[in-house]
Amino acid sequence: MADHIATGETPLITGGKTPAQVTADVFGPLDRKPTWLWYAAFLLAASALIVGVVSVTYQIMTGIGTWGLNRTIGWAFDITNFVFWVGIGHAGTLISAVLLLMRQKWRTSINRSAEAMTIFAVICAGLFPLIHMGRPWLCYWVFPYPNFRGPLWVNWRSPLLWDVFAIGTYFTISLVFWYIGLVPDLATLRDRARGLRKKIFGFLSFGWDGSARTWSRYEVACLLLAALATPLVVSVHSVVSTDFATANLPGWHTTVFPPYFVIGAIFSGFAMVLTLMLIARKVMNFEDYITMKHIGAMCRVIVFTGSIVGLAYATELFTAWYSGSEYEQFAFNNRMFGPMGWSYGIMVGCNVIAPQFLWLRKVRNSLPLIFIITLLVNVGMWFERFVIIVTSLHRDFLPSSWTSYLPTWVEIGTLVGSFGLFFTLFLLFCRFLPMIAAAEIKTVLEHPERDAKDADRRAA
Amino acid sequence: MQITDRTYTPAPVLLRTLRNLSLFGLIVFVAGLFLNHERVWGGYLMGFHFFTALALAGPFFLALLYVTGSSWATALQRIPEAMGKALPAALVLGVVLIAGLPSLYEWSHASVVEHDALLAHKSPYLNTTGFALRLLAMFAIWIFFSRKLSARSLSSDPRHGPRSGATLKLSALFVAVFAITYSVANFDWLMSMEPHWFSTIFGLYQLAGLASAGCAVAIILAIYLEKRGPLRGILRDDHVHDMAKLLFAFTLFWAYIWYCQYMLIWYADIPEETSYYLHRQEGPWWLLVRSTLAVKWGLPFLALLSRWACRNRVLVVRVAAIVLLGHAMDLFAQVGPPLMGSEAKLGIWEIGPVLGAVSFFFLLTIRNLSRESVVPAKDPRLAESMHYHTS
Repeated sequence: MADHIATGETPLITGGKTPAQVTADVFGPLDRKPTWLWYAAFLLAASALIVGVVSVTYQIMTGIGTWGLNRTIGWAFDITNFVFWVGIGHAGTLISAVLLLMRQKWRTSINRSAEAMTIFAVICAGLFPLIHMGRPWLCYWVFPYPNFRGPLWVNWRSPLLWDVFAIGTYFTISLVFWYIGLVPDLATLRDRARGLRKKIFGFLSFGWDGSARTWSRYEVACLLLAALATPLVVSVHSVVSTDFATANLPGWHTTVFPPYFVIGAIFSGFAMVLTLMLIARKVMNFEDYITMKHIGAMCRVIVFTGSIVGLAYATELFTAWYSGSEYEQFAFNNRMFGPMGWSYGIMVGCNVIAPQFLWLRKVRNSLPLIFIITLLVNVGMWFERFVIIVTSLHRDFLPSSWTSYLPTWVEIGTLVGSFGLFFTLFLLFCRFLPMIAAAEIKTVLEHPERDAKDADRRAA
Repeated sequence: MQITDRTYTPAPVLLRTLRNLSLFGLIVFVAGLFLNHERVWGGYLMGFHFFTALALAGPFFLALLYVTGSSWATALQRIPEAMGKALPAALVLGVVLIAGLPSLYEWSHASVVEHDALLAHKSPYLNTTGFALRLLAMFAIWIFFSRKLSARSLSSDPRHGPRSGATLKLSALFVAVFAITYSVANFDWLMSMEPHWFSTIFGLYQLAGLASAGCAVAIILAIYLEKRGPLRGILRDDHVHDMAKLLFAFTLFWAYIWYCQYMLIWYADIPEETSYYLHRQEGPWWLLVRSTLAVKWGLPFLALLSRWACRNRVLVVRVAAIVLLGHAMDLFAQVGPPLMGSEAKLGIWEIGPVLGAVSFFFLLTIRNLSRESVVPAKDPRLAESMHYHTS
């Protein structure tokens, strides 16, 4: 740990915390009653969730005709929301798995909540295909189980089926990874609790004893899971992109889609993590744990991935011209200057231009500006999916079937409901589980006395 | 400390061998211009592309190390610096390439463009002047950044030193500029060999190839320098392990990009795109494409899965050499079909220039390495890198 003092770097955790203080800071809020701020947020989130429940119930009872879809636009809001939420779910596993493999220690302050966010986002995402089925009680048909229905069976060449497996695997591994990471902290909760709570947390922490052997096993398990989860970060959104890229539709079929979707997902996921972390550090007083250094690192990831997204947009445009295919050219012309051109403007403005301000140190040091930029990126990435899906569909090869699209209240209600579900789950998580991986934080703390001794020994 | 003076004197045998192989490449090329210029230009393009990719990998890795604030590779960073110093030579090779345009690209013939509506549409971009200007501009940008970046580690001024904010900015800027320019370069140099065809992932595919080949070269040089002395006691098992893991990751990434392009084109089955794979899926080309996948991804993947393998220097160097072979095969699978049609021919006209270019690259890089101390003594992270330890 002495090395970054030698190179003049600021420590990861400020405030000269001792391990005991870390425990008090992270677990303390769980012992107290929630603040009024939490109640207010929960009320808001739960209300949004109720809006969603009403909309979805009405839609399932009446049918998908309650949506704004028409003969030309068969996919719109639902798939947009699905891809948006899957994308949000990417930062968690990237932070916990890829950054663990790359030994980026700053991940320790944010990995727990980012992983929780991933899980909740994937739950939100999974709801949309389910709702889109119209008859969600038949959802088990997507699984290839032994049956007597003859030749009519799941189509292995359909990217939609790949989705089922890709997202199912991703959800499982993310959940296991998150839970394994929680075990030492659950043991701390157990040690602090009494009565029934102690029993419950004792059961959940698998009898963690904190011995050297337990820690060693735990670290190996985390590394192995990280290695398993890393390809999943790439595979999930690659598969989601093939929902579009395997089609013959200009604007959907382009070879760069899989990596470009992955980068876009990381981009949007990081923006959402940063949005939540900026709120959380303020509300929960975690300024010493989520420092400007963490925020700066996340800003850099955002400007990096945002620039790649911009490069992908530019490549698509150039290739549309270069291909000489009039359909490709029309698709992109229509996307930019057609009746829905405004959505393309929002997309470029929020995803490509807004994050470029993060190159400036002044902006990276201003929390309000960062907050605004992350919100813009969230909006922009939702519009990216909207642009890809709706503007490519609404003017197809046959001009007589050109239409427009307007979402109905049911669709908007469902979108609002998905945000409600996400925030409800997140707020419950903040209430009942430690938001910061305290056990991991303790490994990156400063130890001034021990370091001084080490330095003396080295000098001698 | 004793590490301040770690100079390196290359073995005369090695220098002589590399010089002779480079000369051999040059002689084959010049002879080919008279005897079989159609084929030798194809070989030359492969050699030029291989050389440029390896040289560019230098500043690219260096910028990545600075941007991510990495300290583990500080002790080894003279290697990417030396690789980047081969860029001016790549520019010379590129200028010579312009003379070969008529043999390589059908869009360079006005008579062909006249009768081809699609090529006429593309002619504002695909024309000899544009090609030459873009080539010069891109090399100017690359050389500028490469020189600036490698000068950083020699500077003792803290404001411009290797870990200053200015270096970080320069590195970030280079990564951004590099992503754009390398895409454009490959649209020009390789994609336009089949000018009717297009693929948006093409730039990224080449970037993945560059990263895996560049990493392989860095590994070979690092282990060689340890054997020859200057990195002895500095290169740890942990360094070798990490570089091997990076090689594993880059080759896997390359295979992922290959698969994305192939699968999507196969699936959508649009004639404009399938043309690229139609002639590569037949006869010897298909064998070459499949063996490239096995050599550039399959073998490294299986070989480097285990921890002990990644720490075994002999094995890692062999895998790195295999990756370089795979990279050459990959280039041949891209350059060969548009020039030779269904008849795949592999002979001295292809092997000579590629072997010559790669040897020339190693010759230049090794000579550059011997100019400065092999260990960047002025970098404040050197100590951290030398005591680098992972599980």
